[in-house]
Amino acid sequence: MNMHLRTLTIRLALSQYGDALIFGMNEREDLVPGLQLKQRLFAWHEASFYGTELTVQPAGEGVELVILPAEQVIPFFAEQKLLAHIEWSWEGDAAHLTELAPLLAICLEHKQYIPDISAYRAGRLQWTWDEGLLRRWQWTVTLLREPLRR
Amino acid sequence: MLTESRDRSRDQPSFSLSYDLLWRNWIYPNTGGTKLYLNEIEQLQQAEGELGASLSQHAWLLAQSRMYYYLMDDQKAWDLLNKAAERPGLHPDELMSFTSPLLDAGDWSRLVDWLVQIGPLLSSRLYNLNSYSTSWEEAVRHLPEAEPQMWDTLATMLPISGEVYEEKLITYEKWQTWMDYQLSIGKQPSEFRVKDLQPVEKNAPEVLLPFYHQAAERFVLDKNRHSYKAAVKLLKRLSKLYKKLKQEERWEEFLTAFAIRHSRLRALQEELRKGKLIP
Repeated sequence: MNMHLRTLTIRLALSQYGDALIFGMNEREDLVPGLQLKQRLFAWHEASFYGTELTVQPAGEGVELVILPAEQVIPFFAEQKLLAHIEWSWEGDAAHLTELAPLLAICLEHKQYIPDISAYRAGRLQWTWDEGLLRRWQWTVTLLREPLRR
Repeated sequence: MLTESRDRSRDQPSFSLSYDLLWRNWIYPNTGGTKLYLNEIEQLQQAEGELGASLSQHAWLLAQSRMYYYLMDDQKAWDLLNKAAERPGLHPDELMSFTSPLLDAGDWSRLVDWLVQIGPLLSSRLYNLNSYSTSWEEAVRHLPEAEPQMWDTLATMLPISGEVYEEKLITYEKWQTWMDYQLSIGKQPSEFRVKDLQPVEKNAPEVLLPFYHQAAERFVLDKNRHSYKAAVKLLKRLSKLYKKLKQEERWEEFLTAFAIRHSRLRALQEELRKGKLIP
């Protein structure tokens, strides 16, 4: 159904702490102000009180980044409770994340992740995913998503 | 009729209108018949060559479309209408003239098909979609399974159908979609009377949470006494909503973080105290 009043294109980068630094563009490829972006993108996001608790950070050249804390990244992109009257277009890492997050959320739920040993030795905390499992799930999810094309 | 000018006036071109009324009220109910319609189509086709450049494409396509409509060849009728609508010049009432006989006759499934088809062609901002909207209501009342088609069509017609779309979402109690639409177009709570929001508050208070939270945030960012007052007013409404939803803890969690986050805004803190939100 075409019920979209406008299209917002979302791009993001993950910080070294795993926070998502998000910015967006409208149909004319103008940057969307941070406040407007976060209130649209997170309009149904309870965890951040509908975006109101998220920080907007100026990043120079008119770019304003919306910061989604690391612990909310996978749940948000897995759930994708989004405004239905806006068409969301994911680019770059945002596209990867919308694809991967639902799978990673299943891993989290089933505790299929382990501390990364080499990172641990270097004094950092990092997780390794069970890649075989991830691939099997990706296959399942693809099948579930495209039952007609099968 | 075929050379009548269409100067985009408010009224329907009078010869085209008379043509419609003549066929609809006199010929069709009395002497109509396949042969007559086919013959008319033939004559219209001939007129194309005879009239040359003075032919009004709109009137010509419209007249043929009517004949196919009487022949029950709706697909052909739609094709012709779509062709006519490629350029502005069709009066919206001319499109509606196809649906009103179906409404009167109670031909619901055909009415639904026509409403789906002409909706996107009703592209004038000035046109009042009331009768289009009530036609849908009647059709769906008799043919409930057509409801999804109504939503699809109205949504495709946005933003022109905005008013009708909103109204219908409320009538059909689609609270979440209604709120989704308001949030998407950037509406503010202050643009609604308390009375307007009451049914939503009563039936689906949870969908109002983002609406009030976000508006309160915008007021706080305006950073003046007046806007702080407005923000506190919304926060008080939120507090009631959370109570109604039995999520008082969640509200406390928000309010505590909110007060800490804005602890430097003295005037806001004052207003929060005045509003008895914080001690």
